[in-house]
Amino acid sequence: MSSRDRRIKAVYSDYSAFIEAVETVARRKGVRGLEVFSPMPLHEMERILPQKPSGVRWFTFLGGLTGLSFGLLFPIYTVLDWPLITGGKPIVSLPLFIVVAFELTILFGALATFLGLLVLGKMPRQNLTGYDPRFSECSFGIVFIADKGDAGEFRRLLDKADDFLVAAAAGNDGEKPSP
Amino acid sequence: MSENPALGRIRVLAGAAVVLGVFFAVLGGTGDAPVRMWQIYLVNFLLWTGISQAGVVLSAILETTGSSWGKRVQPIAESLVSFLPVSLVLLVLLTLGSRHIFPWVSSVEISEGKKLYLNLPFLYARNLGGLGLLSALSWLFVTKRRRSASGGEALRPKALAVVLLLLYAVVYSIVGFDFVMSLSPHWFSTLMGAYFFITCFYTGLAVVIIMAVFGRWRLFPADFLTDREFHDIGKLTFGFGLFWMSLLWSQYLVIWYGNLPEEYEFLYVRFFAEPWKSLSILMVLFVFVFPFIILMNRRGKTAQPVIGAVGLLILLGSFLHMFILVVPSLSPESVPAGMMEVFITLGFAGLFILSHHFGLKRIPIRDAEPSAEAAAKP
Repeated sequence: MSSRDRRIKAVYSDYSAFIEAVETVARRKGVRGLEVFSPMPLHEMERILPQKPSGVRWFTFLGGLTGLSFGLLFPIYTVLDWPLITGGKPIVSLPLFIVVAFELTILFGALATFLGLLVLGKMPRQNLTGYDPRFSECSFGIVFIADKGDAGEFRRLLDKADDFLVAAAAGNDGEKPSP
Repeated sequence: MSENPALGRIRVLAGAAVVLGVFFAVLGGTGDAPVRMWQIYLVNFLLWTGISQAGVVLSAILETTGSSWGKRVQPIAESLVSFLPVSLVLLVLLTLGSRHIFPWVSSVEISEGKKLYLNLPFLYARNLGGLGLLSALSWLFVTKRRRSASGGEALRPKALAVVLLLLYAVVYSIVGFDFVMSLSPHWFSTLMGAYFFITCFYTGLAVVIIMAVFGRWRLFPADFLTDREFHDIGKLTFGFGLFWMSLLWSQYLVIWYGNLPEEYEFLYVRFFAEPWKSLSILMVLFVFVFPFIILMNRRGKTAQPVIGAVGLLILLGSFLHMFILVVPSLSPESVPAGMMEVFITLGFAGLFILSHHFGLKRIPIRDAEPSAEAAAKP
């Protein structure tokens, strides 16, 4: 990371101007580490900033599988460990256990998804680079790194921003686009 | 106004199917085994009536919940209303076959207490009355909603939608009890009513998907439906598929657990004894397993050929399902499948498409483009 890099932060309160700005920045060459902040979910971002499928799905899948096998194996283990014939039914009564397995698939899948969101989002996160308290209230924000020479041009391109800040990109940059 | 050529061709095919269907129905009804004709008639009556009512119900649900994603789905779903008057006529025609389809009229002896509920005058009075009222309300709701969608503010279709939904649950429960459960007079199930109207609604969703895919392909303006609508309706279908399966499983589980002869007989014939066993397994694959797997994927919900195929799969499965609900009660030994079954089913489908043809006019339809073959004509 050279010393010529600048971190640019633009703050918007107008939604359509913000979307326009994200489109402009995303199309430019030489922009790195583009991050977008918003106080609410933005479905339009999926179109403007296409991302690789999230890794959370693997958490869900593995959690679901764990729940399924646990929901089947645990009842089977317990009835075999202490076999009691009830109502003339077989000891291992699958039609009943399927209900348990189904419920546990959903429970484990949902919990694993939540865990996956925490892990992959690195939450709770303390030192979020470029974050501004305004992004949790009523403003949208774009943060990215560009070459020093381009900063002036970005100031002109993003002239509808409420606030425009340029700072030296700190050296300890481990930042990548958030997952 | 020039008409879309795709619609014209379909209308001719549907008309031909209706003529053939009527021919086979008359042939079968006057032949030596009229029960074969009447049971497939009943299957189709329940299937197509359920579908068209479900379309209106979907529109009413979207109206009640004030959903914004469904604004474009509503006109498609509620255009199914146009089959409802036809279905009332079909119900009146069904009275001709009562002797053949209701075992408690001719062959099976039922107790005095049951006779209070199961007798032909009361049965047709409540079903004609219920379905008639529901059809009238559906028609009123659709008219009001169309007018309010084009500017009339004071019409409040939402209140009507709530009444419609409640009445749907009641009337379709009764239809399920009377036309499915009473065919094996000694069997009873409290869940049958709910199971029946959820099945009808699920089938209706599948048909709305088919219409949306076809419409996007041939009829509607290019931007009328987007991937988002398909994604949402795919999610809804996915959820109702799971719900359908869980209802079936709840029913299966209590009967399996209780193991009482008068209860398990219904299930035994359908799920444990050939020839119906294989057909039932095929039905569950079509109605639940395949759609479940395909719709799990996001592309499965938005890619047009895929979700269209899922809709057809569910429709085919639902036909099998209605067939399996009705027919084994009347002819348990073998699966009746012949020319008559095929052509009467096609006849009903034709009638459905023909009546629907008039309902389509309220959806913005792309003007006929001069097709290649039309241009080639001298």
